[in-house]
Amino acid sequence: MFTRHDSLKSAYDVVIIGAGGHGLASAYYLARDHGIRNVAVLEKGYIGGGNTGRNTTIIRSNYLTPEGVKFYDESVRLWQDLGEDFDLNLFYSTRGHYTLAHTDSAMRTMRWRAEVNKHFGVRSEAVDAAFVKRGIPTIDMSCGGHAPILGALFHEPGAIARHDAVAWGYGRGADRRGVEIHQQTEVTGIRVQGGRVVGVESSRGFISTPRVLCAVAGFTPRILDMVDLHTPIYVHPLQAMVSEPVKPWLDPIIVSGSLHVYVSQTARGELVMGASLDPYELHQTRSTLDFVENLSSHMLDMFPFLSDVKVNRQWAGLSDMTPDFAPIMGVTPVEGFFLDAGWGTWGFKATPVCGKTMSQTIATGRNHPLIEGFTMDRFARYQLTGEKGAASVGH
Amino acid sequence: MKILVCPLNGPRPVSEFAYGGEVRRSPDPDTCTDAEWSSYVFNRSGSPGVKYEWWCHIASGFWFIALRDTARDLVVATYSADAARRGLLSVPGGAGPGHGDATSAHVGATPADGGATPGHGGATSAHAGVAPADGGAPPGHGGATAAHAGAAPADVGATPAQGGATPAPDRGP
Repeated sequence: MFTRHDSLKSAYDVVIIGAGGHGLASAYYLARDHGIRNVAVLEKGYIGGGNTGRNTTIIRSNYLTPEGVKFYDESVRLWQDLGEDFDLNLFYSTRGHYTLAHTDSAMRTMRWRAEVNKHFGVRSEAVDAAFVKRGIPTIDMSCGGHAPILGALFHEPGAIARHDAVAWGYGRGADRRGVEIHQQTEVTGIRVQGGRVVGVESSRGFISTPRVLCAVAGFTPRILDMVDLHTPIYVHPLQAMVSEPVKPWLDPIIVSGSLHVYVSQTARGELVMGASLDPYELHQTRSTLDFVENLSSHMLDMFPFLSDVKVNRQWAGLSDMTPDFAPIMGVTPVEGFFLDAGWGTWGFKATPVCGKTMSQTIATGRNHPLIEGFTMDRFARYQLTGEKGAASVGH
Repeated sequence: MKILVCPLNGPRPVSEFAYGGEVRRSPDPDTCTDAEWSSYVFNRSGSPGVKYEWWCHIASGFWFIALRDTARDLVVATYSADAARRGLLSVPGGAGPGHGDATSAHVGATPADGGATPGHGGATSAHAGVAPADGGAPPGHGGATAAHAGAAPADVGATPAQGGATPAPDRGP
């Protein structure tokens, strides 16, 4: 599926750190849309082995800020024909997405999000309890008696996709256009002279390049140390788990902020479930029993008949969180060093639009208009892009 | 369940605690620049390392400081805020936590290192007699803790790392 390159060249026009979805999508659009093909993607592990392969694959655009809604809506639009573009089945499946409200204040946020969404042409509606019951007939509307469902934000375009295939599709497309993907190649330093990037030190030697894109999620702070940049990014693990396959019964995607659950059923019948961040900084992907116990308990509040269903696997990824729950993207004070980071718990759905906007930003040296609300300098200006209200659960 | 050693309550499950973030020194708001202040408000030392952190035992409302390796999930030591304030926070250019008051410093034997079953709480009563008092690096802006963290664990970290490896056999599933 991918060309294996035995050696690195001594110089590239662009070096991308991280062969996850975001890095590979950026490489793909650099080659396809901007004719920049002398590109190396360096990956210390393997393609799609980080958060691209660890998320719960939910795609939606029902965000809270105008910046977020426009950005994620463009991503949802790009997702629609991506499988054809790649000639690869992404199992993209539009399911409808319910964000359940169990309190009056949650209902208020749902109305707020619905109005912002509709203003930008995104199909979201605040719906009542009867609508929820019709859409999810198997749900216990009282949630065990302690968190009755009052209504929801219903987002019709909500979808899931096969995450690995996204990385493979972008990777193969980039590879066919001449981009070199080097796995098992770790970046150990970034050489900066006179405020400009001149090259990258790697575990396989020095590479000269004027432009570097950092797309490494939970490893971002370590890369930023190499160029002496400071950001608010802090890293917590985010865990997820999957059940044994069962017969299809859950069509929509269900999110409950109060119960800290998001769940969908895959094409092969597994329930993919996630919850909140682990509660303290940690740079490890170990799973915990606490997580399974808490998440299972809340799943059973909604769907008590699942009590005999077994959990097959659990895992964790490293989330690069930001204070406003929006990403940090674009140019940086180091010329030639571009950042695609702060993707916390919300990065998978943005993969296509990140590739589109970052490739243009790299090609032109100027931030794409869609990412102007996400620039690194917003913190010094105290102009945050507050998306916490649109986070799937209360992290 | 992971175990954290509270200086007041002894070894308790980590679920009884709230994480309060890294111990940081505030710049003087009257004299610092806008850039220094916004950096203090927002920026964090996001890379893994051995860091001094605020923790709170929720049930008793007791705030204290833990020296924790965020790469290995290993608590090197915990200190009462009072001891830490005298040692870590108010001695310019100087001493690490536990300075002159090492009795309040516990080795937190969180079972992170071995990676085996959480729930092993052994060795929690051991005291970290070796205070990283001579860490010595000057606490610059935002760097007070990092400077110490860099120096301290070389000494303190050795003890739990060795001790942590030993009790592995009694870790059951």
